[in-house]
Amino acid sequence: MTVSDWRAEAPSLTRADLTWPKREDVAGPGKDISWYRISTFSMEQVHLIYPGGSRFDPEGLFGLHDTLGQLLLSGTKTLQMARLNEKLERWGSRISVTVLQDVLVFSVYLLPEYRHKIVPLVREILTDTTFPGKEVKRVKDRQEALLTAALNDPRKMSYYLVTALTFANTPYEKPTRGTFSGLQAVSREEVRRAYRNVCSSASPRVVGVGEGWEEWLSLFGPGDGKSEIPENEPRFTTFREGKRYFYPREGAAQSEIRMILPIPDSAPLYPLLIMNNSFGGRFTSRLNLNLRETHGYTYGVRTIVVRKQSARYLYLTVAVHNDVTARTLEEIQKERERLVSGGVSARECSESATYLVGNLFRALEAPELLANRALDRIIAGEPEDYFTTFSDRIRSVTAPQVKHAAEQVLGVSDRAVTVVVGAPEVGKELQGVEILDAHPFG
Amino acid sequence: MPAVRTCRRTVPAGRSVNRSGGILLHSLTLDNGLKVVVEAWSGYPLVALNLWYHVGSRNEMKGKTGLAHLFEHMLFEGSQHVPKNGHFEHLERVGANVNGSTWYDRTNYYETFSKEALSLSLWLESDRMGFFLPSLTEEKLNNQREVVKNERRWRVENRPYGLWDERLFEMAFPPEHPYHHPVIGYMEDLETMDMEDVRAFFQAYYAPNNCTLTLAGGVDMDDAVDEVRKYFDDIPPSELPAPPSATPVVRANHTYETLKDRVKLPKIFLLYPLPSVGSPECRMAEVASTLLTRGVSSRLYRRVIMEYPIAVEVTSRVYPLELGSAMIFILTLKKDTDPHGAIESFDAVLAELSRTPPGEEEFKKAVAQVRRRWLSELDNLTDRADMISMGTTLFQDPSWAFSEADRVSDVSRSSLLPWVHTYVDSKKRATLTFLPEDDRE
Repeated sequence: MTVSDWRAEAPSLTRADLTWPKREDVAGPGKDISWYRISTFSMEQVHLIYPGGSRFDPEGLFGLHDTLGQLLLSGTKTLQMARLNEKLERWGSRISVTVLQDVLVFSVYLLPEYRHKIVPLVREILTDTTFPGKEVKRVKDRQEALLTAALNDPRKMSYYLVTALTFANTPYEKPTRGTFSGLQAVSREEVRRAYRNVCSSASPRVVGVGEGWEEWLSLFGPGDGKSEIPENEPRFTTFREGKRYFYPREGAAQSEIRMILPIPDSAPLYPLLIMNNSFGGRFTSRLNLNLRETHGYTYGVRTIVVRKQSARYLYLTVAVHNDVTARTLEEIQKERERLVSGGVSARECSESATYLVGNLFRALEAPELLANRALDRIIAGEPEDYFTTFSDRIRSVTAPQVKHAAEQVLGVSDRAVTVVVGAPEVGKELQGVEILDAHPFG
Repeated sequence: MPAVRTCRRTVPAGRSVNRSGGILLHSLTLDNGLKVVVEAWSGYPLVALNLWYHVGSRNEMKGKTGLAHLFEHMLFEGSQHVPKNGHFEHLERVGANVNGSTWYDRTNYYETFSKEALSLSLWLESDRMGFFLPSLTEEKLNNQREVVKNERRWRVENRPYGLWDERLFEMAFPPEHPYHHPVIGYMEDLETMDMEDVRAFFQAYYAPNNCTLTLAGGVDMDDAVDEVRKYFDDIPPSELPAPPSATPVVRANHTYETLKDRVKLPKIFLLYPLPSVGSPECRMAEVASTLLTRGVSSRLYRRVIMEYPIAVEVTSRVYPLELGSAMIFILTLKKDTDPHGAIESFDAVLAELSRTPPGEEEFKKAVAQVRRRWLSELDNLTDRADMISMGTTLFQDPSWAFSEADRVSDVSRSSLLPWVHTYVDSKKRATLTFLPEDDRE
């Protein structure tokens, strides 16, 4: 036997039982904490979740909640902005506020030895922020500048356009950051009103990874209302008719393609996840093997299943050389049809399931990854036992179920909204596209 | 995993064990020169495997820029016993995270997986280290060349300000310097790469004696070493080319350039050359740049965003490099802001740093933030394994990153001013400004 003969076969996998860490739930009047008590990380990650996403921006005030989020560290009744931030930075912690479409997430990344100092400060921020007028103006100016910058960023434009077109006339239409006219209209009083509605009148839902949740209890005052993250929100049911759009960008070196395919309420989750994984959800997916590894059209193509409170959809993203834009759209269509008509093999189904289980357990790599998974579960409205039952549920999906999921999502050709942002000459060659001449930040 | 709270550096020797504040690192060198480091803790469900090859864009010849990165792509195209895409297919079947990256000084390949896949991962990595050439084909090369060209378009040519680091490094490092050209390479050079280039590159640099292999996570120490020996012992070393060298960049003049781009906001990039990674000066740069730009209470943020709001963002980064590091400041200005005025404001803040050096509180705050960034990286299993490989490759010290989290706490405030006078000198920097295409300069 030569040296390399024994290498010819891949070694078999050894058995490994993966167990999801135990979660502690603290619930009661005004309290809602989901905690993974893990002491082997140096840092702790905590997310405080409020129902203050951009979907709650009133008409004409698009960007209000994102502006609120940007201003939450602008100073309290007892601590001016500079001093507040000096303290947080001195304790090596990082606070960030992310406004998504459904929720406002106040995130604290901290060293455990400073928790006893940080928690009271967080409570003060969430009850006594003052929003100085000068800071409101500065943040609004910055938001407008970032919107301006996005006008020339093809990746951002393609995302904002496909979202605006798909979710027209729904609370998901406008960019989270807002619109120019909306930001103009946002006033200090509006910000303070939003703050009272979102933060200071109800306690948050808390998810965290770290040594313990006990100190975070002080965030909940007696008699506080509990923050109701809306569950079982009605899904948007009328989507814009599927269409292709083109947004010209002079001198573009590539075409940025984005596609949204709505997922009907009736489509069960687990077959969907497997279908997506096979279609475009990993490096060796059908789309990536086609567009990148066979044809060399792109650095990479990806699809993800997006789960928001009022919508589920498949989101496709790819950037390709100008010359192959039309061919890329054809190949995407071919792969859709192939999956719809032929489905997946039992082996493909099984391999996708194993991928997804492994992928889930990699959240145990770092505290913020685990906390983010917990956050996503809440936003998506998945049940409490989602993580502990995931492995069994995903492994029980059958190939016929995956085919049916493909029929429900990929097979509905008149529901896909496609946006291409690219060089003008590319737009002239594409068939059946509507040319866009307006951006979504109006 | 063991939390990194304190760690004292120990000197490894042969098959050595670094035991530092709960962190146990087992390191050895195989007969073929492969450096192996294992950090094992029982019961942990995941394992990170990381390989650092000590080759990067700095090893490229003129006219062949981008070869190290293109080669990284080629190494995922299969080997003698692994078909094209087989590396990904095998590992994605177990849900592993698989990737690689090319940098100026090194190329790394890494995967993080549940511990059932340890043998599989080692088999895959050893097959492509020792048996890559039989699987090399022109078709694969042509395919990956197109992929890399698209990557360049995506990262550089179709992105606002996309040329910034390429042009800034060209300005800061002279043409003969190994860091002059971009890691991704120039498009015209990518077009000319051929099979012989790829073959020669592999034979020169992809050998066990040019590699550090790190395993971290839920492995048994002895079993892991045995498995590594099984798969890597029979791969022969090669005679490595002499590593590139360069005299430290000492700039005599300030270099300033303006580029027009399809952007809406002016943006300024300023680069200051520094000594090599691991030096006290590089460590001070992390603290100083944090003090200047990180967080709302930092000096530059307060000046250009809050007090005299001419910018929407100000950031900095330190590129820790073997042949001389770089500290870069980035200011994104508000629309129609005069960049020369912005640079004057920037210089005024730096001058103030000399006149009014930070007090104890301000300095400690910056140190705390830098330390937190180190701990954060070491908390992530994949990054942790990479840091271990880095320490072993560059400093022959697997525990270097753990110690660095402590060393930063020992940085002395009294060293800041001499450092500022030496390294933060506007006459020694390269400044690149982007203006909207329709703006007059």
